[in-house]
Amino acid sequence: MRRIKILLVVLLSCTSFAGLAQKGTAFVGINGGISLPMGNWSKSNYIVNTQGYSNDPSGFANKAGIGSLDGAYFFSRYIGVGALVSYASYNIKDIDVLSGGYRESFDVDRVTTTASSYKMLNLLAGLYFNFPVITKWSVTARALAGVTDASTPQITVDVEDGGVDDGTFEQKQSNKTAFALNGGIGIRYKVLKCFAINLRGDYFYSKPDFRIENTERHNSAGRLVNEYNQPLSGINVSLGVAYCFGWK
Amino acid sequence: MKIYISFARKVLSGFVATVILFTGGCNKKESTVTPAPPSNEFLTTVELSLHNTADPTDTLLAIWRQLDPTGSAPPDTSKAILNLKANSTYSAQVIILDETQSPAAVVSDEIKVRENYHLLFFQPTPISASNLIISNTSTDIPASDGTVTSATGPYLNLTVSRTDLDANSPPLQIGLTDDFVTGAASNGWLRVVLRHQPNVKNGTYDPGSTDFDVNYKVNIN
Repeated sequence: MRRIKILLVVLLSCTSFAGLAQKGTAFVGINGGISLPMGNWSKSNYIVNTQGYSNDPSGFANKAGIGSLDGAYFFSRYIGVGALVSYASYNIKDIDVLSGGYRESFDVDRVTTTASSYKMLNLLAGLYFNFPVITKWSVTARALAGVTDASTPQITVDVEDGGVDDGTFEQKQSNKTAFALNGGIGIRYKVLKCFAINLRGDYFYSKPDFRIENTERHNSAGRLVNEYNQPLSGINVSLGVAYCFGWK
Repeated sequence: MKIYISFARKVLSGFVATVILFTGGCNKKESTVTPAPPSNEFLTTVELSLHNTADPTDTLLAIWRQLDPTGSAPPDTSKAILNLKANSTYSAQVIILDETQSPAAVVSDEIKVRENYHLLFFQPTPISASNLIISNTSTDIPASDGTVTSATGPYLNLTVSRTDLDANSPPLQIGLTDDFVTGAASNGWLRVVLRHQPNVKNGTYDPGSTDFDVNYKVNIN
């Protein structure tokens, strides 16, 4: 009981302090940086199967550039509500590994593999936190939820053996909108009265259940991904600027 | 109001510029060409092992051999002969070896592992045009791929049918095990071709390329 009372006092103090602080401030920020995929999505396994199909979870996602636009309204000194729009395009990494798996699975002289990229557009909203530490410096954090509109790469494989082109098969691009989470922390340095620089690190997560069409697959051999239900997660590290309203 | 619109435009322009700056440069197609590593395996020897289903003592082994991997020397066909009994059925097995290795590597085991895109064809000749059957279950080789039909005969009275199936869906024939059915006494040739049909195997001869193409003398007595 005593612990609950202490907790209530602390919470009320924070709330009232926050309430007395700079209400009604807001910012709009633009960030750019690098997105680092994690988990199976970022793996690039060498898959050889001569006697059937293999639906391997490795996603071959490479690190990507990411751009984002966000903004928040702080109804207290520390807590605000805001939204984020971000876009990233992840090229395929280790395409030689992917291509080599097809070559060995079909035991052919030559395979030519071409792949486009994963694309992710995120629309998220949630809570923003701002904790001033010393003059001009503050620590920021956010916890967001929303949707991601993601697409898988189109992968084209041309098979050639004994001087004969045995045709091309394709893993078609697939698009899916899914629930997404994003959260992280950063530091903010106030350069001018209305401008600040942000350095952020954020974790992102979504798990679209892609259904993927494959064309011209006639014989059971090699990697065949007709469903991809792996987490698309990773870390975004970004640097940006923010224009702030109502700062003192 | 104009100030806000102008500001919003600047923010959006900045976002688009940031997206292009950070993602545009990386948004390209990846492409690669993967060649095969230098091969250390050759198809030097093709054996036909036959067992008369009605007579256990009637077994045959016909051997076509080409030990020169470059193919410049002529093949050894001294044992590429099948002496079959008339009106009999033989169960046959195709054994493919690489005799440049010691001990010889059994390549047909490898072909079995890669059965989903390999297919064997068996063409007895002389054959009449009406008996040359081209379908996705026939072992015959189309006239456009070298089979010469004869209008007058005499014909080789041999029919070959495959007895094994691969793991494709639906399954397709392979030809590593077969039935040889003889008719009346006759003489001729049996052409055996292994087709490598990566992702294009459909039961017919034309897709893909040829791994070997060999001939056996056939006597039916």
